[in-house]
Amino acid sequence: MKTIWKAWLSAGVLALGLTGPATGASQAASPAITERPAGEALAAYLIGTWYSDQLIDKGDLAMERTYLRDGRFSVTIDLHQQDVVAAGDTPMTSRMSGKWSVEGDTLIEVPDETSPPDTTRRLITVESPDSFSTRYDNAPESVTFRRKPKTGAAHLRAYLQPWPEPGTPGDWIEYTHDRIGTSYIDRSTVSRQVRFAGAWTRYDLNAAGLAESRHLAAARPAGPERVLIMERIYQRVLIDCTERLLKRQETRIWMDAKEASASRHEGDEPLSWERIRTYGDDNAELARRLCEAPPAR
Amino acid sequence: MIRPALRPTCHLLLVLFATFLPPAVADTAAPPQSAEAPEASYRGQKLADYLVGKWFHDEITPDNVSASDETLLADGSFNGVITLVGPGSAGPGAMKLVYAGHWKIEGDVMVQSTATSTPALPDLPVTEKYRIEVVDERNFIQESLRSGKRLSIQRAAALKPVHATRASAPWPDPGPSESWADIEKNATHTLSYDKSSVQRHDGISGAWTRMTLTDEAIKQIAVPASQGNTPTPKSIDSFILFDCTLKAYRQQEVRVTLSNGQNVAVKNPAGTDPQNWNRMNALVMRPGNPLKSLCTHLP
Repeated sequence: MKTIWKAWLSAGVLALGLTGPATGASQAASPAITERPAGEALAAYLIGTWYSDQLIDKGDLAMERTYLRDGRFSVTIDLHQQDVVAAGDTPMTSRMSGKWSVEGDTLIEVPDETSPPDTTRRLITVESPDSFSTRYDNAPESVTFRRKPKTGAAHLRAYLQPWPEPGTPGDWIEYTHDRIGTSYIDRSTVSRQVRFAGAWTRYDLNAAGLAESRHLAAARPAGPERVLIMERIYQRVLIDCTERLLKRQETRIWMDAKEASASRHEGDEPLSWERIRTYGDDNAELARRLCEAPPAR
Repeated sequence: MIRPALRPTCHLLLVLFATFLPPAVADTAAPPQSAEAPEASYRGQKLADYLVGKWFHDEITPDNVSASDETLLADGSFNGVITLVGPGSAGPGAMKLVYAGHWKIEGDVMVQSTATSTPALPDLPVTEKYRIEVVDERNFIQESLRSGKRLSIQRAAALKPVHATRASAPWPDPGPSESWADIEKNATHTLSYDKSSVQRHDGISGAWTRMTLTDEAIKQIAVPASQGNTPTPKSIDSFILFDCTLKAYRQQEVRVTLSNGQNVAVKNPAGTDPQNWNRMNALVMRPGNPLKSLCTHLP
């Protein structure tokens, strides 16, 4: 399957694509850290996906940086704000991509779509095979990035297992709640296979959450579209208990007392799993329940 | 930015309708097996034999939706098509790339040399290498040795004789207005289906569907099309055969009512070959496509 041509199609630029590898990038696996890598060794070390979670005022920032062998990189920054009524903890996301290379112990990033190129140069301090630190602009403190675990055949096999329908009302047990709603696990659907745990979960908005949703809906400008109030979300999730990764397999959203949409996340890459974030992630409690103390059926 | 070539109105309408066709929530998962099953040692000829067939990969990113289909033949040739829908300065646009070349196996690596493409890619021929990890009979993971990017690739489901039988069978005319039920209504269109036309045979369903554009949507289409005084569509009826389990569909007939009152009808828009069915890919399974609703909610 041709992956590079999607970028070509997407950009619609004939001259793009089929470019050579980044300067100094090699195809070797991550080496053990015996001395501070630089140049080609640092480029080889950086290939993969790295993450950093940071607490900020009224929320948290989750950053992922991916460095490919062909010299391309991408960055995703998710801002999770507290006290925001949003379906499924939807973050504000910003993305960037471009070309990367290494000179000595310095990582050079040239983002796309900036003219003139807004090139950044950052000193990389390798701390271990799976963590490095770097300093952003004039920030007083360095930021530590950790290597995101890779997914593979075991994840795909777990993903391909069929899953049951949600159970009856008596099967649901509460596992956490916040100001606007309550989360439940359907104990009749809990599955565990070696390091993977799965279950149907449900999040119900409470009266305060519904009132807030209605208030937000009423504040929308009038239009031809009917505004529906999200009341409940069902999700079938799969958790890699060892690597603390999560995959959403199916989502059903209820609005106005009936199911309004259902999705098996078609087109979602089965190898692309979410991290369970270090801060403010409700899925951390879900993972703890499913992996450490699964409820009895 | 490259844009799709201007098509005759009828084709434009078919493309427009095709992009609104929806996805199914059907379970096509592989048979149960252990999540930690040992990887089979597929290399050399065994891997080549495994790879012969039709494969696909769909991907939805924040920027675009793409569907890739590729056929690897036992004679060492391959062909494929990538369709991508993404945002453009003039609104969403679809682009398609058709390509072909030769492939071979070196150990656990597939070497693909692409020789031709339409539209023509720069720097052809080009050779790419992918490390292949077989997961099961229907799924493998490919890792590009060039970028390191890993994707899961799925084998296309094989059609059964009944699909050809249904594709060759006659279909009814649309029923009266009272037999139509709404599936979805929003600012741009109303989707509905004709309850009186619903048929089911051996897991294959069929029904007339209708997309009626709102006045606002018609205006938006009319502006870019006005240069050539091109009539715009008001409603598009389509008789669709669909297999929600196999995730395959086929349009048997399309009837378009244009803004100038004309009607355009096309039978067998995808050709008369009864084996020619389309995959319900990620482009089809987007919100606003009636197939998804039909597979989920058809009474």
